[in-house]
Amino acid sequence: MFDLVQTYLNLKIAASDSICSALSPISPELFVNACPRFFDGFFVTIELLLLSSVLGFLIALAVVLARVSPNRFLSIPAHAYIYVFRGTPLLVQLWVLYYGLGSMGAEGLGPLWPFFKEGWWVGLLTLTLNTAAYVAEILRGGIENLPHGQVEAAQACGMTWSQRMRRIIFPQAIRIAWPAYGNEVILLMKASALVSTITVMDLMGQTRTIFSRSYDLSIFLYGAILYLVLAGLLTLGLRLVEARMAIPSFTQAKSSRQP
Amino acid sequence: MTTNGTAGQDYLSVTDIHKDFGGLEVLKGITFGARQHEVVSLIGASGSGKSTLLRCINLLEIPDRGEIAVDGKKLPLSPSGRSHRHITNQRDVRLFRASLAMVFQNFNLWAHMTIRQNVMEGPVQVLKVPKAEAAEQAEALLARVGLSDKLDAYPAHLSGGQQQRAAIARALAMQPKILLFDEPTSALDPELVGEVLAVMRDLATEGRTMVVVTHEMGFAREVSENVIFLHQGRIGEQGPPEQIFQSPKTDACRKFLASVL
Ligand SMILES: Nc1ncnc2c1ncn2[C@@H]1O[C@H](COP(=O)(O)OP(=O)(O)OP(=O)(O)O)[C@@H](O)[C@H]1O
Ligand SMILES: [Mg+2]
Repeated sequence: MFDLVQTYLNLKIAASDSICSALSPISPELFVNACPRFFDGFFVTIELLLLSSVLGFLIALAVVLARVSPNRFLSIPAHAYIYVFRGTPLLVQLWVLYYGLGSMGAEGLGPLWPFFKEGWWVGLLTLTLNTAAYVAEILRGGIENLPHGQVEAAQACGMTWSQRMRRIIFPQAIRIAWPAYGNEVILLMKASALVSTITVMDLMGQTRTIFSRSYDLSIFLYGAILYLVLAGLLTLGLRLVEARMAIPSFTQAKSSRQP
Repeated sequence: MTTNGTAGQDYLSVTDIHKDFGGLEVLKGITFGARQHEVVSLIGASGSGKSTLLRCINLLEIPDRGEIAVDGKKLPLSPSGRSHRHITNQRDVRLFRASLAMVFQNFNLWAHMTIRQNVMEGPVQVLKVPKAEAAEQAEALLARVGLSDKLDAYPAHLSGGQQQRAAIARALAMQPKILLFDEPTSALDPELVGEVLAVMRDLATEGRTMVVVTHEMGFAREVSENVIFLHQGRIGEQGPPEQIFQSPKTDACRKFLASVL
């Protein structure tokens, strides 16, 4: 585990070094000087994004199962969670958790203090909880758009609730929901820039720092380009997964099979 | 028809089934039986409750009252007060369901699986049949319904008739005691009806116990031992096909037959 982290850190430095030196002959001086900082931020954004979308997806799975469960002690809390995190601005969530909770300090938070005093951890937590709420709703859309006959056929042959979920409902729902899910990942990437307001030096945070030293507005253009590159990479990744999961005429089948 | 102790006795017995949808009384006390190897056809006007009855038999709808037994085993419904809505044991219900296979009007093949996977799914997941064995069985069953060349096709790539034949193979794969069909040919183009009826005729000849909701009167007449005419949530009339089709006793049945024949 520790080795893995070390390898990753080395890789990150190597990547940033080689990209920056490759870019230096063709870039304006301003960018060349700031390049390592940009890539520092770039990687922080990627880390936050990948971790929060993976963790958020796992939480979303649990939340959506609770949300569609016939048991009200599960579905009502799940509903409330989704409502709160979709109904408040991410910025407010970040500030409540970082400045609000953080103001309680070491005495108030006890063993949680080391976690809540780090903007990075609070950022990761907030992004995760926020995206989980959206993804849960997206998955619910997929689940509820399944023709009911698919579930009845599974019931009729004696499958349990969990077998139906695992074998019939989820594999179809995820394929139906994938385009909307991809959209959410891109939105999350852009929203993640808000963590710079709680001291995280992500791509946005670094861009602002670099700007505050040079007061050259083109800095923001370079920041934007890096976000675009990231969006391109994410879109590519999402497409690859989509292609891997693809089933011939699955989505058309959905609409035409309704009686 | 005289196998071990079930001689003369009903293999499927349905007693006094009531079902009410929010004040609309759809089934008002249905009682009938089917012996082993027998084919029972359910006919009746649209809205008379045929689908609801079939769905009550395998608990896709929970009957409000009544009793269902297959091969002497009562369906594990436990009356609580005046209603059956509380089911004792989900596991019993599932096992019971697995002994009754259902073929739906709209096929309901699982869209994300190939035909072969569709047929293997129930045996592997529910009956815990080893995969290799289930695959072999799936191939044999699909060959039987004439789909050997479509094993790896997805449902969306098959014609309606092929999908329904695959759905029948999927039902057979569960080794059910009784096969339930809910208008298996109603969603098909006329030229595809024949191939599905041929498979069903074959199953009837083989001695399968079947309950078939159908609008195909010719088929009902030809293969069933017993025809039940449902009328407004009750059994309007029942008897051997010759009697029902040639000399119906009730006006309602006469009218219904005049409208469909
Ligand atoms: N889930 C439900 N909720 C409310 N009403 C229902 C439900 N299912 C069926 N019904 C009603 O019950 C009545 C009987 O329906 P059912 O589907 O059993 O008729 P059917 O004999 O199968 O008709 P068809 O020949 O058109 O298939 C209809 O009036 C229908 O609207
Ligand atoms: Mg019907």
